[in-house]
Amino acid sequence: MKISSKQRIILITLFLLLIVFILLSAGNGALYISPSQVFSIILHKAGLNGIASFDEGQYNVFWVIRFPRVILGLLIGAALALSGAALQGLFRNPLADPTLIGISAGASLSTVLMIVFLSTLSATPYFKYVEGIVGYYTLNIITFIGACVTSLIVFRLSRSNGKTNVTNMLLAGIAINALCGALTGLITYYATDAELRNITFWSLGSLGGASWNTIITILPFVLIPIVFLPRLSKSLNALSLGEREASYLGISIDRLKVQIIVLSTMAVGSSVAVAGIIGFVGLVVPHVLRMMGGSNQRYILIGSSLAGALLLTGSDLIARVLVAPAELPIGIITALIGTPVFIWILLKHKKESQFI
Amino acid sequence: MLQAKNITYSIGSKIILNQVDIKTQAGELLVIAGPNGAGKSTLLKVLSERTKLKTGCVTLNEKDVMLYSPNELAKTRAVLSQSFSTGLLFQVEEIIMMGRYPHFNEYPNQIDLDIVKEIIKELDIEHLASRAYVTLSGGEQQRVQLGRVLAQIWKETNHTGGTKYLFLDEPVSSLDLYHQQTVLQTASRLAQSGYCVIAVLHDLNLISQYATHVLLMHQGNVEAYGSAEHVFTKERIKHVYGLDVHLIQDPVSEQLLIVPDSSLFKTNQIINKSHDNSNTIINRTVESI
Repeated sequence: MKISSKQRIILITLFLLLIVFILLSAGNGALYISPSQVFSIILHKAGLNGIASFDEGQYNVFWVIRFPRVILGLLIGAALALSGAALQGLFRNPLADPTLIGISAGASLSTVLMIVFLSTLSATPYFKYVEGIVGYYTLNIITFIGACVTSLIVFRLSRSNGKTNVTNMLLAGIAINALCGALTGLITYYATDAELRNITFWSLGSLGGASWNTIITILPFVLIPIVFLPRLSKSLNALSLGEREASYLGISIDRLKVQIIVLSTMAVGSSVAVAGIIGFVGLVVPHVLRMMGGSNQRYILIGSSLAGALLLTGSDLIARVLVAPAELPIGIITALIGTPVFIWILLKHKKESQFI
Repeated sequence: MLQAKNITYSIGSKIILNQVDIKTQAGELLVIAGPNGAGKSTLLKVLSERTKLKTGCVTLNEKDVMLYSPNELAKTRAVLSQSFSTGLLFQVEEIIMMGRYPHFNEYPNQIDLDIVKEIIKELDIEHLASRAYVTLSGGEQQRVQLGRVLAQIWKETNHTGGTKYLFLDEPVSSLDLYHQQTVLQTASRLAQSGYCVIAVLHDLNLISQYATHVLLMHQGNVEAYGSAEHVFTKERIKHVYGLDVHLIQDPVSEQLLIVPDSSLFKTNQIINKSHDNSNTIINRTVESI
């Protein structure tokens, strides 16, 4: 379906805001770099002459620390909001988000397991062998596997006769969430104080682990969903009429479900693996877009990528600037910014929102 | 031509449809009638979807429905369901455009845009075209859904393919007197212009007004088939619906009118029923003691 002119204006505004925030975020922090210097550094890297001069300190801070962090924020924000939007479309439920199908619960459980049992595990020769290959990223990979395994279990539980039942999936998600929560709690109970602090910070989320290596690692997992999920927008629009209506329109509902679950798990699993749990983005961003411009899924999916990236870039900027040179966990900021905005829009659009 | 041969459909051990045969073709408006639980909606489902049957098969344009690809089937037949979502944040035009989904990949072509315009004109809903779907009344929403379904099988000007089929499951259930007539007029006009329309309707008078053929279902079997005058006899209606009726001819239109005999209903049946009920209650009480 075509994007209406109002929706196009919203998308363009989001895009321009995103550019502004990328420049702001790349420039601000413990060391200031002006936007023209940001451009010059990027041009310099490409072998061209820039317009403004910069010193080596600025170059290093920008290229090694800040720029990868900004890009990681873009990718993760887009991934979380996009999967949230796709899952809300699939479940035809505005409360659906990646937590619902067990992605976050599985990621938490596997991470907490790793944090607490790392010392025991790292003594075994097999673990040393694995660590020799993946090195520093062991925790991220384990988290990703945990996320995939739980969403796979939820998905399997919701299938009967080769069909996925959405209600069963919700219920299976609740069950798996509860189980993972209990196990996570049990392990937390045995954790030492230092481990507890690690667990807490992980669960509040952070972009602190950003490096070019992390970006290259998660790039395919985020880019593939960003490219392919909007291609499913026509089917998701039809699905909003109801499963039966969509199938009358010639859409293979079951294939659609599998595609969305796989793509969302890829995006969210890899995000959680590198940045911990950053709540709120996946739930609220699609909502805000829907209230502003309607339910056309092409607009919602593309807009969610942009707005999610914007929200996370902005939040990360605030997280770094507010208590510089230290930083706040980003999950706190996304909720602190997101909630008032969400409530404001909710009140403003009361009439429409009662229909959602 | 739509043909169903000897179809039997069951859920578990309960037989819902028993050896049903149907044949209908372009130009006909076939109405499936019958009391609640007679198997009307199931029959419509079996005819319009790819369903696993115990016996028999359904063919559209001489091809087994099971051999159609989902997209091919979507271009051949459209179905208006009894219930549909009411809270869609789309514009009316966008909803109707959804009917064109089987016909384009990412973006609608010029022909899809033209067809949506034609349908809005045909259904006389120009004043609703750019409104938000959620703000419409129930009846207006139903007409928009009809528009979407029509868009799905609308004949392009140089159409050469086979017959297109329109399935309507109680299309006038939430419409007022005037709009009941307009929707069925549209269905009737479509049939005359070469579509094959198959509808489930409850109102026997609307059926006798619009149906070219009537298929009367009773307990999963075909009770009678033919024109309304042929199918609706006093005895048959009494047998199928358990209700006495008067059959009269409208002096102006000469149309057959079926009027329930309410006096009979009041004096006999209600009393009988309450009598029966009190008996069963007494029986149950006795059993439980």
